[in-house]
Amino acid sequence: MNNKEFISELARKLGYTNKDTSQLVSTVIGVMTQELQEGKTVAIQGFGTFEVKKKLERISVNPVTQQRMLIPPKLVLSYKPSTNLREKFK
Amino acid sequence: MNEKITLQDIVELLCLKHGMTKKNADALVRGMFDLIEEALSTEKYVKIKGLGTFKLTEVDSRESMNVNTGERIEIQGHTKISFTPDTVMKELINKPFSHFETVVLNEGVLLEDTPVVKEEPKQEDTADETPEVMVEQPEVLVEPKAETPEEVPVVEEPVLEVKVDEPETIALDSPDTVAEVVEEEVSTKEPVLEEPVQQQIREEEKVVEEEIKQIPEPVVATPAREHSKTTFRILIGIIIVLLLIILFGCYWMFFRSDKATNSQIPPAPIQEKTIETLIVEPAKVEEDTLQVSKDTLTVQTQLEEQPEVLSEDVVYEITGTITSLTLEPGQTLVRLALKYYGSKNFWPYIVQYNPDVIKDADVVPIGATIKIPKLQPKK
Repeated sequence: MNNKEFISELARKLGYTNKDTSQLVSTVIGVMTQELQEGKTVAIQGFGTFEVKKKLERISVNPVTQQRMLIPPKLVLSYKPSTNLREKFK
Repeated sequence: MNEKITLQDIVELLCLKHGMTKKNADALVRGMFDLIEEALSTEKYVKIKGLGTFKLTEVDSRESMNVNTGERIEIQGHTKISFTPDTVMKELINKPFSHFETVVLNEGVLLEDTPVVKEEPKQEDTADETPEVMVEQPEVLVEPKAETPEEVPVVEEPVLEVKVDEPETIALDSPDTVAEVVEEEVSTKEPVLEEPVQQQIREEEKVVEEEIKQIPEPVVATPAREHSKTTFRILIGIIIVLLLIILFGCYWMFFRSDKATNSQIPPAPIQEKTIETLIVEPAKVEEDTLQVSKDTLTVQTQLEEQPEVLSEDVVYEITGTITSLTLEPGQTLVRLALKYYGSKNFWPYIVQYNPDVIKDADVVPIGATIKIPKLQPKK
């Protein structure tokens, strides 16, 4: 299901127009992003947890050229599904 | 820092931001996540713009071991939910670190324990320090000789001992450590040592002559040592000293090769290292902002200006203030430099221009008012 289908499906369920729904969804995501950027964890009950994790810098070697690269540290968003959800799809 | 935000918090924020009723906002957020869940069960794939992609991936069954009992167990194949953040999301999350770039490492850069490039200045230090420790042996040996002119009868014994020990220790010590030994010793000591010892030697056996051979050479090094002593902390000084060490190392290698074959091994890596540091440092100083210990940082900042000027080919001078601003969360000196001068290498100018605000270039408090200097090429 792509974004378009998702929006129209959600719009149908909630009874909003597609345009409104898409706007609302992006607001929700915006709020989440903001909180995540502050280093907070977003936990949605029954769905899972979104968390920002720091990956340390590391050295990687290009297997072809044997060139060694220093990969800088980065922040990544990780998602951990709730146990309920995990069990459901097992 | 690690606070938890729940669905309810999102709903509340949404009410504030969008003027929605709590009920509607709640329905929306819940509806969203329920729909993701639902869609996953029917289509195995949900893509949401701005957030990312949820996918169901199959995991093959595999064998594993029970850690407690050592029994073999089979983990059944199952599907799991994987999530890949959207590029937009990824960039937003990584924003504080976005100015870091991947750097190609030159060959021969030795970073066994830590992958941080920053280690190199430290290695130089250790290169200086380790010989010092080793030095102690010869020093102890030398001192009895110094006493010899005063108490002649007693002296003879220690001198004899010295003769026995020294050739061995020299053979063991790497050539550059020997050179280093000389350098580490206080210059005043040397002359005092030399003369009396020589007198003694003439009176005594020939074996001592080996020591004399050793002592004259140190004398050559002492002026350089005296000179670098005052500017020891500055890298240029360190480099000069290291180059001297290398030169001495080579010198000793050629003259001592027959006596100490195994001692030749150390100088080579050290030489490599120092050369590496020369090459690598100017390019990588940005990395320092990350994990620099305070004392090395001050050295680094001083250093930074030189390579940076070289790379830009022009020396700049501060002629005024472009603007002053209050530091916000997420802003760094490097970023400011990039913004105002188009190059990350210019941050030391900002540091230089704000001595009262920026005490430690690593830790600049949020909310500090920073003046951005106006730079003009020096004529």
